[in-house]
Amino acid sequence: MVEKEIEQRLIAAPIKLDMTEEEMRKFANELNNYDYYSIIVDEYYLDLAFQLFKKNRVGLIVSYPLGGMTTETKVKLTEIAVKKGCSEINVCPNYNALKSGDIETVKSDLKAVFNAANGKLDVVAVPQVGLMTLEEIKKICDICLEIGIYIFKTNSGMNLGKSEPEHIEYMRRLYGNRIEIEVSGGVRNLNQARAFVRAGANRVHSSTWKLVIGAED
Amino acid sequence: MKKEEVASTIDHTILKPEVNYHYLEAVCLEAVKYNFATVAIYPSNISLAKKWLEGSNVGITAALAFPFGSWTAEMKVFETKNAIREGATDCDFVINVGALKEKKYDVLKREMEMIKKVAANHITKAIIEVGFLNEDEIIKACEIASETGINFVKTSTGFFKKPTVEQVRLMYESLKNTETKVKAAGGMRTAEDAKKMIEAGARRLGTSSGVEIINGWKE
Repeated sequence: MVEKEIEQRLIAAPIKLDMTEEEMRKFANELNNYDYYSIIVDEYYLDLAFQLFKKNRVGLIVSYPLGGMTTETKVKLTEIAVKKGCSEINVCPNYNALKSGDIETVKSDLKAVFNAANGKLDVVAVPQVGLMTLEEIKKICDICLEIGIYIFKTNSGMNLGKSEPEHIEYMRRLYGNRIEIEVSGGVRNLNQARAFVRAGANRVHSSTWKLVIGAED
Repeated sequence: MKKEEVASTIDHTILKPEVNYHYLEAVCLEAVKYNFATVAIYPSNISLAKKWLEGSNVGITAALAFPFGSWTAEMKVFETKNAIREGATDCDFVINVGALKEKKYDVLKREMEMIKKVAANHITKAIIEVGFLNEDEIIKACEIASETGINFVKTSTGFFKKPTVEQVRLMYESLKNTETKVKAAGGMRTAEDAKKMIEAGARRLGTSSGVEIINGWKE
């Protein structure tokens, strides 16, 4: 049975290398039966997504999942998202810079994105918790909060490590209710989704979304 | 084949989010030492790599629309121009695989033409991600790339499935009698792996194991 509590927190992401228009239609037909939160797509599919999905919450990925695009490219994608009327972007910071302690580069990159968003959409940053130490997670979050970014998507999946409920608890302990947390990477079924929500996740990303909201066993 | 020749086919690849600048620098210095064709990196690291490669003949390959390729041609052109301005010599872009699957060849042709146009004086490599394609789709992608004047068709990003020797051979056969060559990338760890790909027709190799390949190469 569908669990309302999880259903309304669901963010679905029809993103994959060989995504086709036909598959996007199928995805929308299924998802539109549920009371989900939002969907995230890649740039080529933005217009189609606005046509197909019942809710007006459509988000765009920005330098996802690797974070290695230049600031100019990240800004350009953010500008496109604003122009198309997106509700949110999922942006990956410059992880190589973060791993090098080059805080200035991490900050100026995210600040440029935040400024391009211009308050018109939610900027969601991905600390990529599966690849980071707890100190590095704190570092990214601190930088983001200083800029004005307060929504975090824990991970991007794609073999880049997993999120654990402990990651959510850690972020909650550090920042309390000043932040919103979207869990991603490692949410495969309803029980896991419940555990993440109990740990403090506001929203849940999953590629196995039917299992996650309880529409399938 | 001589070691030096093999080295000149290698795009020494470092596309990992979890490494730091020291690691990136070490990879660049290896490329200089071994005289690899290029280092293959994220666009955000081009300006750093330029510094580390200064005075060498090693080029810079930018991984573009990476790794999904689900962008409009306009967005791909934006990123290509940006990477060239930063200092890229080679532009490796992921094609719109979904469009290929749906036989929307005009979408592929248009993106390749537009990228080729802004990268006319650079080396262009179209990543078709063969692990997701059937034989007809591989042949078609090669045909469009060669018609458009793309320099290389590249098997894979390295993030999904690794290419087979048969797939590389099929690409080589499809591109015979054209100016376009094959770049094999993904899953090559040893000299033996590299040798098989070269024998199947690859003229550029994308690998993070370039040093192992050269050290293990038997002439």
